[in-house]
Amino acid sequence: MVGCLLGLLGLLGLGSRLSHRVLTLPHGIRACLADPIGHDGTRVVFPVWFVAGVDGPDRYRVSRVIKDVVVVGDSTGLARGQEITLVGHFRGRDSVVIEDHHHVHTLRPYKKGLSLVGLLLAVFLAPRVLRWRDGSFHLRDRGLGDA
Amino acid sequence: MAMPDLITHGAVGLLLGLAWVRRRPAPMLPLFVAGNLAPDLLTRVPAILAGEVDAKLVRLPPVLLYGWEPMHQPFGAALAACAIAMLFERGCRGRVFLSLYAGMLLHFLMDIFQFHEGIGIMMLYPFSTTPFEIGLVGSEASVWVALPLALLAGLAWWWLRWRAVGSTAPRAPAQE
Repeated sequence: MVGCLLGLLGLLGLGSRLSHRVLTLPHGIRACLADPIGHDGTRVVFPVWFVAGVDGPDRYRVSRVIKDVVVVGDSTGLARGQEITLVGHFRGRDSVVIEDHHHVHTLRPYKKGLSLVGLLLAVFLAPRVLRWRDGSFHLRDRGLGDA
Repeated sequence: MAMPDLITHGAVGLLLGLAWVRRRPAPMLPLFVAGNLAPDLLTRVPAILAGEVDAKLVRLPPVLLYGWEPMHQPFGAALAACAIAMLFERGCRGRVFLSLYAGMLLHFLMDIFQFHEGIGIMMLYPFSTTPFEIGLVGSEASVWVALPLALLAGLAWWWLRWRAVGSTAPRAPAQE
């Protein structure tokens, strides 16, 4: 149990460090919005963000951990709620992202559905291969030779 | 961040595991498959839940939003596998760790083939923050192969199990 706690402590340390890194990325959108002029022209990538709204044929907003980042770019075919990966450059004078290109993740809902099925299968099958006894997990022999 | 779905991960893990063990008893095989699922189960599920809570209910500390990610990297995954292995009975912890971690490494191998606009996995974190990806296939490409792979893995499992049963079942006494 002590080894388990040490592993969890190590993971907590790594997680804290990574969180700090995410919040202080020198070229992320968070830094761009905090100091717009200083980050004019910075390349920004938004991997799998939601379209928060379409405000016109050449303007839309994306959200995830930061809400309503304004994007200037082709909004043809975009709709609120879609998930996209967007690559663009930050424009400091009005704090918007100028789109270079975006990709709509049209199959994302199917992928989420498949993952949900996988998650449920894992939860259902776990008790068939593991059991908790005397303070530790024990493997049930579910190998090919025990049928 | 995108990755193959859990069905694809599980099916590939099971197929490769079966190819490795063939007809030998394989009590660690489920752990290898679980290891292939674990990086997503340990990071995406809590991160998505925390993100929903943060967006709709109450602001959460950043570590609850981003702090899961190291378990989707080889070094953090090793710590997670180690922590999980320590929950098992003495005498099999080493094998549990190796089976889980081998599955986790297969998971990362599958993930880095996907294209993420240069934002791949930080394979050497915390020693380096350089992201890594090979970027050969799209992030949703697995949707098309998930069900055929799952079917193939299921058939392979039942076929090998059927053969194992056939080879170990007691023979009927010969007729005089």
